[in-house]
Amino acid sequence: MEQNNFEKNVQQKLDELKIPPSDSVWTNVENRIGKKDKDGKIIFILFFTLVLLSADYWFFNLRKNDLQQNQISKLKENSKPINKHNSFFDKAVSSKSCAKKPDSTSISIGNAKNALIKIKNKTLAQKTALSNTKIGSAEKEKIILLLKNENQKKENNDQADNEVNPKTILTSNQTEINQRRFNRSDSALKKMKIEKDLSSDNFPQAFAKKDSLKKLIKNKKKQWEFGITLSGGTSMVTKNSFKNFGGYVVPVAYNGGIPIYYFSPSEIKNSVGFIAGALIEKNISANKGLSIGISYRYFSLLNEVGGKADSSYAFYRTYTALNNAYSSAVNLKIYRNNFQYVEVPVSIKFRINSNSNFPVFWDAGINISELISTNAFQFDSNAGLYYPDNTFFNKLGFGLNAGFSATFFAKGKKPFNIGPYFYYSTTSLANKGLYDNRHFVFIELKSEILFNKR
Amino acid sequence: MGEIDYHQLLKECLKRKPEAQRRLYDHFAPSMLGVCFRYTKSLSDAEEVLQEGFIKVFTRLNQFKGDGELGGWIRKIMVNTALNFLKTNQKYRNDLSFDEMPLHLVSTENPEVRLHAKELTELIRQLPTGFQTIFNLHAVEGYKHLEIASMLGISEGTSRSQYARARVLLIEWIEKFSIKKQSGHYGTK
Repeated sequence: MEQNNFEKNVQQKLDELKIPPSDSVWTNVENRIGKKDKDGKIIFILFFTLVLLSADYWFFNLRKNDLQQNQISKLKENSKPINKHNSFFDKAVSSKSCAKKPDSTSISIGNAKNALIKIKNKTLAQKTALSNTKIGSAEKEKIILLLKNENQKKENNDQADNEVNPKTILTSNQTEINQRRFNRSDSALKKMKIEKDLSSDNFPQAFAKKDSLKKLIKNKKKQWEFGITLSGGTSMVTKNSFKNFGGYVVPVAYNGGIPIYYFSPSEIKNSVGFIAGALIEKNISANKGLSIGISYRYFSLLNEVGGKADSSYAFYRTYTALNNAYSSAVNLKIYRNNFQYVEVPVSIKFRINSNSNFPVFWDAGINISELISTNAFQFDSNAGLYYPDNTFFNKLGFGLNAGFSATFFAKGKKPFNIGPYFYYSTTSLANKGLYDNRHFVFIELKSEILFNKR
Repeated sequence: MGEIDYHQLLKECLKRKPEAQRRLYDHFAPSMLGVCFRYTKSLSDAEEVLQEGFIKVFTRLNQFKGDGELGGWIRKIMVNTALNFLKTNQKYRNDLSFDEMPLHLVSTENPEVRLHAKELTELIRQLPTGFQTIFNLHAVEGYKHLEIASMLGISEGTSRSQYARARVLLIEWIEKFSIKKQSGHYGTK
C-alpha cells in the first residue's frame, strides 16, 4: 500500500503542471479544422452545381428541339413560296388551274412548274400518296429541268431571296435559315440523289426520299462514335466515425472488475485504382457531346494488420489488430483491400475553347456501378480481429464525376483525349462496419481514344 | 479561469462555433501541454502532439458521450496521440524498442517527492523513451500493465520490468536532485 504513495505523489505533482502553448498551435488547429469544414462545403457546392448545370442543359436542349420541330412542321403545312419565281409560278399556276383543267397528254411548261410546286409543298404523307399517280415521261423531263434550274437559282440567290418577301421571312425566320444552311452544305449530294430518283420510274417518290435524305445527312452528322477509355490514379475513402480511441486500445468499461477492451483498427490508406472500358460518343451540337459507356473499375485501399490469427473465429481468414496484445510488430502486414466494379458512366462534354485543332472539354456525368468482387476486411473491435464479410457492402452504387480533357489529333481518324478527372461515390461503401458511411474518391488521369468513321 | 458550463460549451463546439472552440482550447490546452510534454523530449514536439490532439478532439467531439469528464476524455486522446507520435516519429521510434527481460520486483523505496512539477517532469523526460512512456502510462495515467501491453504491443511482463527499472532510476535521480537542490547546486525553479 505504501508503495503506491510514490505514484500518487508523482501523479499529484504532475497534475499541477500547466504550460501555456505558443499562439501558433491554436492558429494551426483553427486552420486545420476550418479547412476540413470548407472542403466538405466545396465538394457539396461543386456537385450541386454540376447536377444543376446538367439538368438545365438537358431541359434547354429538349425545349429547343421541340420548338424547331414545331416550326418546321408549321412551315411545311402553311409555307408560301419565298422566292420570286415561286410566287410568280404560284400565281400563274393558280390562274391557269382556275381557267381550265390540265391536259394529261400535252402538259405545258406552266403546268409542269405547277406540278413541281404542288409536289414540293406537300407533306411527306401527301408526297407518298402522290407517288401512286401516273405522270408521263415528257412531264418528267420538264420537271427535272425545272428542278435543276431552281436549285441553281436558289444557291445563287439565297441572299437576294431574303429581300423579296421580308414578311414571310420574318415569320419563318429561323427555320428557313436552317433549311438554307442545310441546302447549301449538301446541295451537290441532294441534286445527284434527286436526279437519280427522278430518272427512275418511281420518280415522284424522290420528294419523299428528299426528306429521308435530309434526315440521313443529319444523322450522319450526329452519329455515334466508338471509343475505348483507360484511367489510372489514386483511390481513397472519406473518413468515417469508426470508434477508436486515438488509435490505441483502452479499457472502456469494467465487468465485475475485469476490464472490457475495445480495439481500434489501423488507418485505411490510399492506394491505386484504374478504370478500363468502352464507350460510344455523339456530338449533340457544335460544342457539346454525350457519351455512354461500360467499364471495369478497380479500386484498392491499404491497411496494416497483425499476424494471421489462429482462432476459432467464424471466418477462415482473420488477422489480428496491430494493437492486439497477441500480435507483435514482427507480424505487421500491409493488406490490400480490392474492390472490383462494373459501371455504366454517362457524361456530357462541354467544349470550352474555340481552337478546333486542339479542343479542350469540361466533362460532368453520373455513374451507376455494381460491386462484383471484394476481399476487403471488416473489423471486430471486441476481438481485435480483421475478417472478411462482403455482406456489409452496398452492391449498387451511384457516383459523380467531373474533369477536363484536351483532344490531340482532333481532326485525325483517332482523336485522343486526356485529362484529370475526379470521381466521388455518392453511395457509401457500406452501411455498417469498417466502411460504414465511407465514400470512394478517385483522382485519376483519364485517357480516351475514339475511332472515327470518316 | 472561472467555472465553465461544459455542457453548454460542448453544445456550442458541436455547432462548430469558433468562439466556443477557442474557449475549450484555452481552458484545456495548458494542462494538456503538460501531459504531452511528459511523453516527448522537446517542447516543440509536445506542441505538435497537442496540435494533433486538439484536431482530433474537435473532429471527434460528437463521439463524447458525456458519461465521464470532458477533461478525462481529452486527456485520453492526448495520451494516445502522444503514443502515436512516438511510434511514427523516427526520432523516438528507435528508443521505443522494448527488449524482453526478466521480471524485476518493483523497488520498495517510497521517497517523498519534494520537487516542483516542472522539475519532476524534467527528470521523467531524462528517462529513456521506453521507460518514460511506461512510467507515464502506469504511474501518472493509471493504466494497468495488461492495458499498457496492449497499447504498446508488448507483453505484460515487459511492461512490468520496464516500469520497475524506470521507477528505480527515477527515485535515484529524485534523491540526488533533492540533495543538490538543498545544497544550492540547482535553482528551485
